[in-house]
Amino acid sequence: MRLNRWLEAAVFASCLAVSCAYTTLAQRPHLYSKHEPIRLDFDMETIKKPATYETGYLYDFTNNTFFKPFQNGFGIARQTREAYNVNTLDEVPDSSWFTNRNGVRTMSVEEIKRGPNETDGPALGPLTVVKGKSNGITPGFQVKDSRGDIYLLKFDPVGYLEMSSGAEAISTRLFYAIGYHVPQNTIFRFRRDQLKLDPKATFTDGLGQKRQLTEADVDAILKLAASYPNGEYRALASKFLKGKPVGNFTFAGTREDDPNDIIPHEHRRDLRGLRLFSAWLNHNDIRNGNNLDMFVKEDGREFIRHYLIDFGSTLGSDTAFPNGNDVGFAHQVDFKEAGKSLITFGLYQPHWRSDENRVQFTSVGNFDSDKFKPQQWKSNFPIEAFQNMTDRDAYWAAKIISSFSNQQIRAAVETGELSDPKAAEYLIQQLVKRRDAIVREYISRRSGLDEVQLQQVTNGWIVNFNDLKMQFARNDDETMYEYQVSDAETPNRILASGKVDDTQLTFSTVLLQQMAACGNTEANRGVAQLKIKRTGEKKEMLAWLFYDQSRNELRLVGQLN
Amino acid sequence: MITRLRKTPVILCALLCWLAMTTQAQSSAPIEVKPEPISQENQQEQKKTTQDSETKKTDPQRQRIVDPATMPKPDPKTNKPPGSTLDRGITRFENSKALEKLKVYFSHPIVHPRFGGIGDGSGFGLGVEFTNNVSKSPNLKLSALLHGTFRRYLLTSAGISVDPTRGGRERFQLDFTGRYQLRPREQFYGLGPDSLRSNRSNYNLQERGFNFASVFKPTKSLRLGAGLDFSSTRIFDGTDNRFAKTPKLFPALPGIARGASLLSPQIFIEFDQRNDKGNTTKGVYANLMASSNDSVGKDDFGFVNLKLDARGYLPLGTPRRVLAARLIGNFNNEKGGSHIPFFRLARLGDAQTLRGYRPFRFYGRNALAANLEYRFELIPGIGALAFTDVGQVFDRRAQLSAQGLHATWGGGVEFKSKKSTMFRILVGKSGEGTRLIFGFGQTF
Repeated sequence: MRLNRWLEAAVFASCLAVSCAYTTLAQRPHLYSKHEPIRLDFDMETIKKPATYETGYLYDFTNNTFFKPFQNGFGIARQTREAYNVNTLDEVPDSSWFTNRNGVRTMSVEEIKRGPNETDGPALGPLTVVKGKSNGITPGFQVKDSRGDIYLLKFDPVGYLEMSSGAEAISTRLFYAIGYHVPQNTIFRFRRDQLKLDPKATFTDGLGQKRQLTEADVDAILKLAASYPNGEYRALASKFLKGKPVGNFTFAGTREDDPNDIIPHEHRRDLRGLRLFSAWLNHNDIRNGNNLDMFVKEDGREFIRHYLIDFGSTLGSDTAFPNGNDVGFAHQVDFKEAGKSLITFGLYQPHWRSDENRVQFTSVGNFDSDKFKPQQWKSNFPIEAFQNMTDRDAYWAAKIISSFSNQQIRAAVETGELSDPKAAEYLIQQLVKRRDAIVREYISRRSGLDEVQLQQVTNGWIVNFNDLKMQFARNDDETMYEYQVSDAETPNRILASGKVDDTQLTFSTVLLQQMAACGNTEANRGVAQLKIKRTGEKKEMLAWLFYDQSRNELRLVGQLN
Repeated sequence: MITRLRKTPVILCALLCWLAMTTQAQSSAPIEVKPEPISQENQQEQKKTTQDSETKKTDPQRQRIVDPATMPKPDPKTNKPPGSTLDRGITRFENSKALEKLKVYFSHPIVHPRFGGIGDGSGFGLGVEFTNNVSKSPNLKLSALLHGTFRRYLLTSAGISVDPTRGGRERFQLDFTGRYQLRPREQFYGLGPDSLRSNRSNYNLQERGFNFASVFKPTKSLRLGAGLDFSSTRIFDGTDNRFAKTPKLFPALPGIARGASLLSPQIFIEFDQRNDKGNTTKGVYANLMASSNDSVGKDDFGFVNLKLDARGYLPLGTPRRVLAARLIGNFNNEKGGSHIPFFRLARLGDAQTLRGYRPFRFYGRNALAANLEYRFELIPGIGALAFTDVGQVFDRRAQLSAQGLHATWGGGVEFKSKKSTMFRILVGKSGEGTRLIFGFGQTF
């Protein structure tokens, strides 16, 4: 009787194991394709003009802080899947959301400095004030320059000259170089007598009431703006984007009136990975309200292009004042942190709750790298796409961040036009240290073996790869790599294996002939799987190589780190 | 039956296997990452409806990274589409600038809205206060207040403050205030520490009076004052019909039949070294007030009253953890054979003293109470606290004993702004039950 029970239990367990394994296998994704990897996700077909959809701070705050976590069961049973919009090389293709820039091609210092700029900012000469606003965190104007371009002028808070404008100019360049669509933001200096009032100019006060703009309103707004001792004002001139604004994009779901928008935003790698970019640049105020969808017309097609806007609350700036010590460490209402304090009766007091003044330069604000832990960084409130970030998403983002050299970072910081060279140098150091912290944390979560390149030689092909982990660790220790080449369809059929002390493998003609015989269908014929790992480590890089015997050509058709 | 039951897991396993295999068989449309581009074979199979769609499918530059057919449909429960009711509602509210307007009203130089009750048991109320803060003379301040609650409590007052030294109300100040208040549901359980809970009754107190005070501030933390108060109080049946009427249940109480008119010269001394009155984390505070009260007219009321309020705040390593303690004393001494009107006796059992008891649960000639609070920050803007209160009313000092002390304990949360505690929710527990307390500002 007892034996029967054990037998039943064993049958049950083995059936369950087989079932689980089989189910897992069934969900295994397509990892390679003999076709060229998709480099452009064409989500730019002509659509009808969508409705304008805007959310304000209150909605973003309540929805993300209270409603969403509640809907999602406070993340207890969160099932994170990998992102949809990746190609067979595990990269994000270009789209209306993202354009690969520094991650695939090293941008020159000039390109970094230029960023998205089409002009050098407002043209010299008189500026016509066409609109004023006293609502929002920072007051400002809309001005038209002599070329007819319209700019929004945003000012630094009194006492913190250069802080928010500098942060916005610098972050704009970096977000652009990362690959996001951003507006043209430039530092602009002017004098009061340059401003002329358009007789039709309107002013919206703090209560949303619209009326005619007066000289007194202009003076009142300028009174709230920091200025140089010589009376010159400094502003961030944000050029109006081309197209028609149709509201904000969200970090979850899709836009119903945009047929191009089919991938749920929380499963877009470019939005999940944005968490890491935001952590690097301390973009704590990332939310729907700081995104903008523009209905644009390009190449005869009308579609939505998605922009990140308003970087005034990045780096050390919280727009109207320097970052509080808790910025980046806790959400504005952080249930997890509150729970820790409650359970410990207040004994839990993390360093970021200190009242210590950490502002070293007023033009930089509170921007620190010593206490920065990228995996713990938090935006002002939870963002669903950020919470879905997997190690593969993070690896993708970290790889892009690692592509920024110190010179490129310096070039971006120079666009902030900080008067104090020490402040600029401090900022550069913090950005470099934060970059290194991110790369250390997230590159090492995967194999870090990447950037496979193929080169034909007389006796076969050479496969080069890069060891990002060792490269970034600047470790000169000799590292050994183990590799294994097998049939892609039948990984047990090993074609070659061994150890090398260099990031280079030679595929001899004999091996290539063996590869040509791999596979059993047209889709996998000639495809071999290459596994590489550091000796003594478990994490490995998988690459799929296709040998086209007729052309004697070896191609990379899939990769997974 | 037993055999059939034992077979169930095996059948289940087989079913699972079959399901898994079926899934494998049906998984031609990958739901995971890295879908392949549309193969040429599949493209041939697809129907070519229009020339345009044909162009899109065959043009490798115009393909999508995912097959739209494999994309999950948005779940309306977890994935609210733009323009949902909630979304629109909150956005409309925000666009209406209601919060900004409220902020403007709150910071209005003349009109100030007031929220909350008028003392314990009065319930939630609203009020409006007028001041002449915009006046060009900083040494003259006029004020008026009208505050009512949903339990029909009412407080009105009007006053004038003068600083004859024109020092901007810093050193010397003369205040004159007239007041009128209705308190229709004041609770009374009897006299002494052993009053019965079952004797709950209520009375209606109506008071009009004025107060003249002169305040001198010799140092930043010391205030000395002297003044004269007049009050005329009448007592009627309470309006809460669920309970007995105090005049009927306790007809012999001093002052219950005709009320009392009292003239009270008073002096006080106040020492305040708190770092922040709204969100105190460090320092001490003490207030000692003495008054001599005599009836005006035929009644024989006469007593001396002494009130003490001493507080200390100790940060425990950080201002985010504070131990706060308070001692409150209220002592009355009859003059000769005179009496004390019952509504001027010392009381315990409100949201300030014994927080687990009902408002004004204990009346006595004297009262002594102590509060201890441990306050700590949960997150910036929200704090929690744990507290315990002890106190006793007594006629003679000999009656004061550890055994006679009433104790309460509890905890709660406080919502704070940078300047003050805006709102608190406390739960207090005592031998007579549990009380939920909502209040504005910190307890002390």
